[in-house]
Amino acid sequence: MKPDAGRFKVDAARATLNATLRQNLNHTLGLIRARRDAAFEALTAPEELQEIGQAIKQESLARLPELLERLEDRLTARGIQVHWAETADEANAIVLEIARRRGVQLVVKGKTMVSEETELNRFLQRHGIEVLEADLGEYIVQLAQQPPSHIVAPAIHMNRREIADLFHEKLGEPYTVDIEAMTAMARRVLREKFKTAGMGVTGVNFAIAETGTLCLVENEGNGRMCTTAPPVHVAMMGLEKVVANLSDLPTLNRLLTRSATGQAISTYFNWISSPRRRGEKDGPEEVHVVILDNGRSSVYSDGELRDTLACLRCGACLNICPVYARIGGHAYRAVYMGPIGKILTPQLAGLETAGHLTGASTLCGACAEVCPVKIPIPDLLLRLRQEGSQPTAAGRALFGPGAGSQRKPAEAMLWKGWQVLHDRPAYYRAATALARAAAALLPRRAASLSPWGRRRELPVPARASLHALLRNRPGA
Amino acid sequence: MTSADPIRYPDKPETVYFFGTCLVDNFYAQAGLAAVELIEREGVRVIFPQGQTCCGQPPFNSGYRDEARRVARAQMALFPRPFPVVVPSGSCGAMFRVHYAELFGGPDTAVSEQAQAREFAARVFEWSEFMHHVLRVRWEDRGPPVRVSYHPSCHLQRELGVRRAPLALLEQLSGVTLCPVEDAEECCGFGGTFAVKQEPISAAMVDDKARKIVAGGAEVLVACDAGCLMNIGGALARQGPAPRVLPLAQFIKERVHEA
Amino acid sequence: MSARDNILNRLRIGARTAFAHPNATTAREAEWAAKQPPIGDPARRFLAEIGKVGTSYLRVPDWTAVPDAVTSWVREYGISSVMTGTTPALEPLREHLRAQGVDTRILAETAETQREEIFNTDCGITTARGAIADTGSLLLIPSAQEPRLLSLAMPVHIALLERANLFPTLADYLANNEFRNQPPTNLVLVSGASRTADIELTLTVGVHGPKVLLVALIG
Repeated sequence: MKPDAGRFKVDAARATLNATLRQNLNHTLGLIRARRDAAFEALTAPEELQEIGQAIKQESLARLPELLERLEDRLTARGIQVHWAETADEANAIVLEIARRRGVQLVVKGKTMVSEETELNRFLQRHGIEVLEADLGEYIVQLAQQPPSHIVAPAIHMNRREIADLFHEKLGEPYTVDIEAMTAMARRVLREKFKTAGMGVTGVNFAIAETGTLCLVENEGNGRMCTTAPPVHVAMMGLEKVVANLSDLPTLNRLLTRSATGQAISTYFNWISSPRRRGEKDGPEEVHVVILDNGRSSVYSDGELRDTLACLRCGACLNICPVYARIGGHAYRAVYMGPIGKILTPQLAGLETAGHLTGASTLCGACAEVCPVKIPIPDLLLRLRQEGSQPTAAGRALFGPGAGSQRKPAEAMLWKGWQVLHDRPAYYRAATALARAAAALLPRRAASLSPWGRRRELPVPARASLHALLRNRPGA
Repeated sequence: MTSADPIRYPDKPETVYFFGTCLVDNFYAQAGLAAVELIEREGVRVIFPQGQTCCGQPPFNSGYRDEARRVARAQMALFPRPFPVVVPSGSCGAMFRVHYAELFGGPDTAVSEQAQAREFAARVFEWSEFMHHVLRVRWEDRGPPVRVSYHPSCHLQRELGVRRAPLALLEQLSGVTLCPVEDAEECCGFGGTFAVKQEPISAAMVDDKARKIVAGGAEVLVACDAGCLMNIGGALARQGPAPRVLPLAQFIKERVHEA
Repeated sequence: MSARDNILNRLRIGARTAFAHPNATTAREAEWAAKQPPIGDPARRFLAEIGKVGTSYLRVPDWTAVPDAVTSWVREYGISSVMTGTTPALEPLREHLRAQGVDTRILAETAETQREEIFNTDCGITTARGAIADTGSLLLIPSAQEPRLLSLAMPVHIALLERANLFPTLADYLANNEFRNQPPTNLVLVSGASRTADIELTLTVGVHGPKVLLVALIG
């Protein structure tokens, strides 16, 4: 799955016309937003909490190399094996190597976006290892052979009837639209897998450098199962997940769960600091951490764009985004979709591949307002648009991959022309007078041929401009 | 992006500059005139430099900062004296107040220009904000009873942080009943060039917005941004019988006008 | 050069000598927390919070009253088999349950050798290291005596919590340095029965973990 400018246009347009999808999204996003808002309104000074969260992440990012080394040191001291991967392929190869050494035939997975990023499932399956998603939403989309359409709620695009059809077809279970019954089906299937899986793979929400602790936030218990039942646990994390102190956890967790689901805390907040110790009767014998770069260190090198790495993956920006609500997650053809995806994907995949996503925003700013760590998403969109459209010949590529790739000669010329007109008041007044006159002569039906006019009437130009109305004023 | 510090509003000035914006200039000139006259009605002199064109937001938002900077530089030069600059648009106001600092903050700009941009930004006010917080206007409603919905435009509420002022102005009008709109704070889908470049998404957004406004039962829709009004008004007109759509200043002018 | 060195080198080049106030945010967190509505009596708050997510509880004066409380749950929920760890303090409870004819098992070997038994028991019983009042979270630190699966694999989990071990907030627990000085293999905060909302955001209880969580608050 790779972002593609042409396909985005088509897929997005098609999605806006998909009544079922729109209905499914409206229903669920409306509920999540209400829960998130209620959870924040119950707090005194919620914005201050966001500011503290922002400060914690900025502080941790400022000390990133040092904290990663400390994390590695603490984890290793207690027997957790640390691996570093520069690319998605390297990360997958590391997991495969561990699986082969341990003779693993079945892998169960907790929800992890990093493994989506590396496309681990497909990789392991190609090497003959069965992989099963254990988070209910992930399990549903895996059965449907689709990627997740949301970073927190992977099956948000589907309603219960669509899921009922899927379960009936793929699991051979009697058809039911009862959500409890469907959940029970998944529980039955996955229970057996937890008992026999040779490896559990999960993500990491926070990695604490101070103590060498991996924290997982979840509600279903699949994360606990994956980190308890199989003999090997592999945790995959983006290198930005490290935070300095244990005392950072109360703030970050408050923000994460409230932003993601409106909960004050998730059902399970799981802290892992070592493999099974001598005498302990369960838990994995081996715990591995794969620390993934995959473009993050290049993001890190830019003082402004670095803010992207503060993301907690709560999904609040998706839930509030008016664009996401109209097109859903699949149209982006990217692991990270919605507002955070629009800034993260072009930086990880390169502007030449995903630069078009930066244009799919009205810059309304709703995302920045709900972001628990105050990532200025619209500002970063503007910055990336600038990087994408700057003249490459000028040799001012501040940002590496794909700088200048979004520059279209026609558009560049248009803005140059725009500048010439707006630089010179006389040109501006003449040109706008001409345009108003022309627009007034234009048959109204012709308007519907323009992109603006397909679903909207054209505005009626003023008979006299404000300049003209105010010509005889002081200061004119 | 939002101004972190609370805005310090000046005392009532004797003179202000007025920046009309290109959309008001060409599509809502009467609203621009109404905004000016309502300021003058409070005994404040209004200067409208005829050299003004556009704040530069369209190319800035498209990533063409050099082009935006050239035009922005010319605009700033038209407002040299320390008078407040009143702008009948949240979006253009935010371009001035929030983004000029960025536009003139890079390695390409002289230190003196950076300082100039900051000084300029600090005296820019959106029209409703200026009327409410600086002039503290008091109006008497002379119009018949009417049901009104207000659309809070994105940059006005989120970048300038102006949420109360327009409503406070409307609340002074005794004949006006405000009709709430579902998801009122959601973007209408205009987004400047977005409306054309991403037409299907934009249209889906504005269709929803128009539907929710109609459901709210208002006879009139007002807002402080011409772009949103063009967008919402265009969709409403296409959908069928619709509320009248007009800028807040023009609506207020009609209500308080002495015949 | 290894991947590790390449990555760290890139990050070191990218890192600016930015501010580092190791404890500034901790202090701000404490300040912020002080502004929140008061937690009041931790026990009352804890019970109110767990009630919100459907967790039932019984209050008992001391450990001697635990067996009767557990027995009442065993009847109420139709539990026919229970499992505990090897915790000596629970021996009276085990004896009591056996006397009541309840199939009472002990996880005494390993999860591997007792797998079928573990996954086919109705109810796991564990002690809790403590609890966090403001979020209604049990603080479980599984151990050799009380393995993790006891609070995870069975449809019902009964947690035995002493009132003296309630902390008002998570920050209060962390401030006592117990975790910092000796991080356990696993610590888990449990705030209710296992749940999901992955289908139409409809809350459904009992996915991979327990369907029912019961808390006996002692003291």
